[in-house]
Amino acid sequence: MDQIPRDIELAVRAAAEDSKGYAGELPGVYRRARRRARRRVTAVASAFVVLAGLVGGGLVVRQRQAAYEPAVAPPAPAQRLILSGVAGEYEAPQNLPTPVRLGGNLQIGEVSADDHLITHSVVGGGSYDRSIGLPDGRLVSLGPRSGGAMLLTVQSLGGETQQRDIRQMAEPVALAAADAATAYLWRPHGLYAHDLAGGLERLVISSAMLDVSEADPGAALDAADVVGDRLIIAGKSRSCRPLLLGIDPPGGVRFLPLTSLGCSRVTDLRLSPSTNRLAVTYTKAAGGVRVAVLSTEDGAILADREVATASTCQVRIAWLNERVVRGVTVPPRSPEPQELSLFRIPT
Amino acid sequence: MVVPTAAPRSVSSSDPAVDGFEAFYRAHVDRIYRALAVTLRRDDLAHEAVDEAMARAYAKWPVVGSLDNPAGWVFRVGLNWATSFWRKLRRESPLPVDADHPVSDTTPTGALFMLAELPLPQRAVITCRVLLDLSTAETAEALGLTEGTVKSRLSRGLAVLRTQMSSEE
Repeated sequence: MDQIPRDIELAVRAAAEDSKGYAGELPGVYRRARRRARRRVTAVASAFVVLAGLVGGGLVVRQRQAAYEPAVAPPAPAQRLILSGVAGEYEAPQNLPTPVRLGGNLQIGEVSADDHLITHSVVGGGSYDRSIGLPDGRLVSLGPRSGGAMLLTVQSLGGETQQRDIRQMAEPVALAAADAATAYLWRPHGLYAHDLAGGLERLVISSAMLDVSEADPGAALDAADVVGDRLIIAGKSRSCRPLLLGIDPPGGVRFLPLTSLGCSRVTDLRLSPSTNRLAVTYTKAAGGVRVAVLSTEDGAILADREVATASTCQVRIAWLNERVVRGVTVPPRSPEPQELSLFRIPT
Repeated sequence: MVVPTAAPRSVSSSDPAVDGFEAFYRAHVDRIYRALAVTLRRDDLAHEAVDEAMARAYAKWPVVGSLDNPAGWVFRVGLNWATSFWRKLRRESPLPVDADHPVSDTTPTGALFMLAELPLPQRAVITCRVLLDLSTAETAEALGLTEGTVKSRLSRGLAVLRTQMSSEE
């Protein structure tokens, strides 16, 4: 049978006409094509740089052996290691006599590149759910205020502060990630890019496309991170199989499973600055918290180390550079000042 | 109105390749989008898929524009992109239904309801034949199938639709 009966043809055409109709525009297609071309160029250039680095690295090392090396401050980390959501009193890693109090309406902690615990007071006080440190020194924080407001605060090193109430109709909102120009927010309909300068928002990827709850996507995830045009999520329903996605344009890339490592739940995810690697903190059924590093190209496990023997410990991680993950293990809250334990994982 | 499948070639400009793509886009994008929306049963996914496929067509327009059925090529690229994404996410489970494109028999023909009963490969063949006006041979080429497979899927799909229409009557 090769011919389509007339009544069926009409029915199929009626189904097509029932659709809303295409709402896109040609410039959008051109922009998408340019982004694709740029990504290809960047990928080729990155491969070339890595190759050049491998070839030239030996020469550089030999030259430095005879050179004078002045004492300099450690280079700024690629990602800042912020201690948000760990309220309590802690012994400072640099052995200062006075414990450091974090959380409440006081201070947000940060472990500097030279392993010192420093603190930031966010103007306006209040209790921040989450803070993210930008490489330029700014701190992006989100937290509730009385009256039902949810304040997004951007505070510069000099104390200049910009605050904006971003709650919409009492809907849940959570801070997923931030970069120099954008804060990424989980709202019921999906992940939104919030322009830090003007406050405009656009939907990056919908909850339906991510297969997460449209009631509160942030709560349906164990962890998530955004770097560049890549999004990584660990949904509660498949926590140990984080999914890497592209967000510009949106699309699935690959799963990065940790099931072979005995993972029972992922607790944090950090993509490296180039998005070539993924650092994951996870708990095991038998207890303990571990940190694994995976290649985002093929899911290969590049490192896996236990950083806490108790699953109740919290672990925060950040990339020092493209190859080294540093982190801090925070013990469970206690009346006594707790000791933070720092670690680094080279790959 | 039946829109011709082949891209118009008579547009003149300082950059014929760009103008050729633009004419093709304007002539075909809505129809390919509707075909994908019916096949995928998701308006938002169909939108993303047609944009992605059009961007790829633009990037290699000298090649795509010279094909017999560029619209079929764009449909297949969009369909592969969308189903690949969902296959990764859902492990071959059925595609969800968009709330904006509900499967119900509230339309005069109940067409969406009937089409929803078909497996995606059969819907793809039928939408290629009906909405993109492709012949069996053109559908086979566009979807990367043999003509026999296209005929088989078409036959099974039409049989299901025929049964449903008879029971409605």
